Amino acid sequence: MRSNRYPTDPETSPGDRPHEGLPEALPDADPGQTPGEKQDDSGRLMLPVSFREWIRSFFSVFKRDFRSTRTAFLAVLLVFAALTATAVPLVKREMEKGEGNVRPPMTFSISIVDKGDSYFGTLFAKALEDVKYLDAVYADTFEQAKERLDRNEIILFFAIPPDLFEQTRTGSVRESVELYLNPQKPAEAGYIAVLIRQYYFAVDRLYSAVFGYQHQYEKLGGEEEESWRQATRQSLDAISAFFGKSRFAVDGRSPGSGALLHAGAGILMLFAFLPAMGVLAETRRRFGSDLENRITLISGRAVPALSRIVLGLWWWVVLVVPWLIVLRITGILQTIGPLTAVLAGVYLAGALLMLFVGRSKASAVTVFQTGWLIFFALLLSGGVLYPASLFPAWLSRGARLTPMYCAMEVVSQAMTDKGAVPSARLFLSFWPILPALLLAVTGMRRRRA
Amino acid sequence: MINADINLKQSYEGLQVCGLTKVLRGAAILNGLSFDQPRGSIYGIAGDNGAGKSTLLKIMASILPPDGGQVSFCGIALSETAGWRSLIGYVPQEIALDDRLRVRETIEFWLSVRGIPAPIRKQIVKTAKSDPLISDFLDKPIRECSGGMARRVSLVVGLLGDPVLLLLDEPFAGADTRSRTMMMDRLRHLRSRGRTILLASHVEATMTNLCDRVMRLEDGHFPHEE
Repeated sequence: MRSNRYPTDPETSPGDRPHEGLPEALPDADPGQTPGEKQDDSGRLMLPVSFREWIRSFFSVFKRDFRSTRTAFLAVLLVFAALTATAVPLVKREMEKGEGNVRPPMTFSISIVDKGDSYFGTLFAKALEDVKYLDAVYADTFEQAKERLDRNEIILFFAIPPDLFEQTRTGSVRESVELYLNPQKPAEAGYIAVLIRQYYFAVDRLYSAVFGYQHQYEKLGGEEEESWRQATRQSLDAISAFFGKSRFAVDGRSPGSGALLHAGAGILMLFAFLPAMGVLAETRRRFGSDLENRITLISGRAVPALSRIVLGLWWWVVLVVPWLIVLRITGILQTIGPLTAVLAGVYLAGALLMLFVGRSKASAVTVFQTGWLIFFALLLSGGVLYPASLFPAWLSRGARLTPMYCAMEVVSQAMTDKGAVPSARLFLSFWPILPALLLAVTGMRRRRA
Repeated sequence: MINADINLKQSYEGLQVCGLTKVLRGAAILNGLSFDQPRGSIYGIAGDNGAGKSTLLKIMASILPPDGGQVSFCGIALSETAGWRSLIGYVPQEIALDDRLRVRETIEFWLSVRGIPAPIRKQIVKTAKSDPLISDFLDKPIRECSGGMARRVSLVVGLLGDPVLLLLDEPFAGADTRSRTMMMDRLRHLRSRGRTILLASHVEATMTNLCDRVMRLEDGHFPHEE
């Protein structure tokens, strides 16, 4: 029934007709012929039917939509280009500065109070010198260490009892090592304290084993004093090896770098989702308008909707891609492919959802309020604004089912692991697109009086 | 709902509306509306503001779904959306044009929305130079056009594709006498070529001058036509 016939000969012009110009420029349909019935090639202009005509129709609508946001688009593009150009050399310089002397992102200073000025304390301080995330290890008196703690110079100090070395030799420690934490930095100090307790158990076993062997050596007639010294050195070397493990400090597992990476991932997610709100604004503004109705009657509902999604994609490119390039150039990411795909998926799901919301029959104010509420609810429940792992257990379990959760997890992991993402998790992050598409199709069928 | 027991005359060569109903927000806007309009005629729908004229035209343009009743034109039903839309030209109440575009660009834009290739678009736009409705101000941006000029452009856009059934909602609103005369001349010419035109306006005097028949819409139906 549908036809799209236009003059195959552009020279067919009605110069000699009573009303020159349009629509007489287009050859007439025979009034006696049934409408919709196929006519000859010089028949009426109708609606886009073939794929090429549809694409042409789409590009004309897209061009018009793009034109309406061109100035803002170019302004944001310029700002982001400038920011990117500034960020790359800055980050690179910082990274080059750190090359060969890689400092962990979070460092501390500590004091050791060795009440007996023992051999054990000296060895312990020496062993800690090589630990990467320690800036300085001070050998202080109790008062000095306390003053440093008050001045916020150190994160904690140990107080080693005077006869600890002798006690360990006999295997009956009566007085424990005391640990004083900085009250001004409770989170960091608490974190370090937890680590120390974890290490303590490992060291305790190790130390027992070493002294067990040493005891046997002594029984076999070795020199007693020297053998104990050697045994203690051996134990403390093992301790420093534990502390000196670079995984904790360099690979970003410390609270400081974790927070930074989460913030970075969150900002990327935010920028990826933001263009979907533009889709909402444009959809609501046009829904039911005579201009939209006119376009829809000719090209169908899909063309204006798709045009908005593609326009939003342009905005997505401007907002997201420069930062991905910065991350790639500076070496924070070694590949940006998977991350790009996930962030594009976030936009697409958001845009489809907002197409549905934007075609609601409610008032404009209600629609915008609902849209922004959904926007923040999705970001919050997905752990974008605040890590979902820190939610209460029941909320954390619920958050796993929300649309943004998988994507946020993937983006966080990619930021931590230089852009690498397991394929299964990557594909899982796309699941919200399908329900959003169904909603969008439902919304597109709505018509407004 | 009035639909199952209404049978349209399949052989009727023209526009048929049978028992059309529409309820919006609980109020019956159209209440079993019926009329026949032969091909090659101009019918006018008069009525006060809010009488349902625009709703009727939006339903007939397939923008709004009817709640009941049937509409057909030469055997093609409104429910066959794709086929129906290939017959109609709709000129909405608002100007509904992009006011940043020039008149020439506007014509080109609406042609490209129809999927027309660029060479043919250019050729058609060239012929617009000789169209008395718009030839004087082809390079003027829509936002600088007067109300009458914009109305003329809107009508020309609605005529692109040479539709056989024209639905015009308040086509003369804001138009001066000259513009109105030119537009009416064009509509008469289209009628002489067999085009069927249904227009809605609340100014009955203009319609009496132009239309073959004027129907007054009251309480969702035409009380003087039934």
